[in-house]
Amino acid sequence: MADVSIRQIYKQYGSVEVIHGLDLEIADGEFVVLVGPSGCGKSTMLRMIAGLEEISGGEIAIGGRVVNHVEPKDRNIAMVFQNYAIYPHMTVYKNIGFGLRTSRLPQADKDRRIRDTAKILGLTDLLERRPSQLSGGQRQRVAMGRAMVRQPAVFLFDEPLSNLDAQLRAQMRLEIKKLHQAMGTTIVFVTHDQVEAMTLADRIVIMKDGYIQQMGTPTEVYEHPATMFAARFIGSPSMNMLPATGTADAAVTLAGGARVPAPPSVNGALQADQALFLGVRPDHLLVTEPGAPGALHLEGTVSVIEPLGPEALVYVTIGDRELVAKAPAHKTPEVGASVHLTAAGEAVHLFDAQTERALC
Amino acid sequence: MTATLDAAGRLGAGEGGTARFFRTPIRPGRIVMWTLLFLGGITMVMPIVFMLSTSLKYPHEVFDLSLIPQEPTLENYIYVLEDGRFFRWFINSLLIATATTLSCVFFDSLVGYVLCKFKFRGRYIIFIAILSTLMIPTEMLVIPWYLMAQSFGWLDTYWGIMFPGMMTAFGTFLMKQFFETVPDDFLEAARIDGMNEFQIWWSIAMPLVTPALSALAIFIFLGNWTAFIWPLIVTTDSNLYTLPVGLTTFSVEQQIDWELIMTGASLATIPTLLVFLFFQRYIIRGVVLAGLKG
Ligand SMILES: Nc1ncnc2c1ncn2[C@@H]1O[C@H](COP(=O)(O)OP(=O)(O)OP(=O)(O)O)[C@@H](O)[C@H]1O
Ligand SMILES: [Mg+2]
Repeated sequence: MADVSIRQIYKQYGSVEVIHGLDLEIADGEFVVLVGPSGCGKSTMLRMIAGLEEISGGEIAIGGRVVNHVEPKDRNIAMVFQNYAIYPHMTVYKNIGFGLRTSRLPQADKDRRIRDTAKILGLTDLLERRPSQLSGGQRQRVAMGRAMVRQPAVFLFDEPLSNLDAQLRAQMRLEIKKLHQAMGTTIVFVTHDQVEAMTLADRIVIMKDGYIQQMGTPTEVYEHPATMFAARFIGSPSMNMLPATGTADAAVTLAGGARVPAPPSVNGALQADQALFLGVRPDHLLVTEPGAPGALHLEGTVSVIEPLGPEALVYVTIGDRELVAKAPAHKTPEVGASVHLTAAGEAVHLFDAQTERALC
Repeated sequence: MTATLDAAGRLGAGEGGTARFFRTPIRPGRIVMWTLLFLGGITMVMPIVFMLSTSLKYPHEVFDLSLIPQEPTLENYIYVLEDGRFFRWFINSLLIATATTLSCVFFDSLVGYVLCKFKFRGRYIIFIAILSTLMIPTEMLVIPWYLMAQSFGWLDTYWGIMFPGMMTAFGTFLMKQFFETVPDDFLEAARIDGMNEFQIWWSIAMPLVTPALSALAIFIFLGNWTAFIWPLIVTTDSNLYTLPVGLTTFSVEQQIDWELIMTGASLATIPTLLVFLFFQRYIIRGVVLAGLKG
């Protein structure tokens, strides 16, 4: 077990800089998820921690030891790859044992560790099979087994679930979380799936274009997104954004003229005539009777309904914009109906239109 | 053309059994294709049949050119197998073809792997340089080879026969292309698990390209087994002849004994058949393996 500290990390490919001076401290035993859209540099970060990619600038330390020039095999890490990278010409037993090849344990101990690992992952009956005789989820488990058997200080996962179907992905997600709770090893996990990030992470790191947009617990980044990007990236469907203008008395006016008092967290950062975006999550924008209590009130026409079981997503056209709101299943409006939407004051987020950062 | 079409149509319509047997209707295009394939097949098989048939004939019958020997005999085989020269040349060929095959499989794939998986300055230029040698025909190379062999004292040695074929540009190219299909993740996983680069190549990358290695082994073995011009030029000592070179000089008296040459040639095909049958299994297994991966 070990902490990982990343200080002012840069990465250039030729003359193109793809990581621009990132700082990230990962505590011992923490489950950190790097999340962001394709090409934002998540894999590059992970591969630099693993030592598979040279660092152009800055410093990475694992367990207090600077590892900039340490070989991957000597970093005491293990990595699980997106396409599993389990060797098709070896049995499950050999694949799992592969991680122990260079260890100096006596053969009997190695065997015991391989079997213990297989047992934890439910692979005991499959040890003599080859990867081609396994299902996707089983292969995924073998890949994890090969990483676990070494008992590394840090686990690195690069989108390990993206090749699985939705159901299996949910199941493996749960198993990874259980494993982490049982073993307590530091984990750095890369994904572009915000649901995976929310459900797994102790701490989420949202990245974009080689910069960190926001770091925080899943609740923090959901409730207090620091940037418009983070606000839209986390949560599904994405946060609704409406252009707005600041007023002199701690409120904003929407394009249609509606007036919304600024949420208390804004603390006077709001200036008169400031160009803003007002954000509200679909979860907090509810279809209500006119006059229901709340800070934000909107009127519009229902264009599409998406039933989700207990509730429904209601797509509402307001002027030339489309917003997403929620309604309980038994009170879903009709398509074409005029509806009233309400959100509470604390559900309203304000972002500066220029900097795209949250006001606070 | 029309005649064939009519004939086929009647065949299909008249004999219900045949029609059911073929299931799909016989189309003119298909008939043309079959005819061409049949002619092609005959053209390829005839010389071999002729070789076998001649090897079963007595000398006086050789210029008869009939396909079936009037009095088939195995005497030629007994003679050739008892003649020490044939055995010697056979062993020479086997040794040279095996050594060059092993060497090519090793070095071609090693170089192909490095050119494919390592990024270093000048790798593209090296690759192009290797490829460009493919465009030079053997006939142009034999003189420089000969001068080289002469100045190094390699004339009339096994090494002299083998050295031009110890590595091939074609094999390097083939293996480089095949290593492209091996995902880098496999290699990186092994790197993290503590293997050195040579071990990664040998025990991870190589098993993943067995189909290509088998194909390469077949090509190289056959190429060297049947090689003629260079072994002919570089050797003068008949003890060092390879089978193709030796066979052309094979005679009992002053004239050329075709029936003996054909017997030797027939026997010479056996190892190539064995090599092909042996490696072919790996090609098929390898393809299956590759198909199920990932
Ligand atoms: N070997 C390379 N040479 C040049 N540019 C590269 C190389 N590898 C990655 N990049 C660039 O670096 C940036 C970050 O790539 P990276 O693979 O880290 O993205 P990612 O966040 O993992 O994306 P994805 O979700 O698609 O895997 C991308 O813009 C990519 O084009
Ligand atoms: Mg990636």
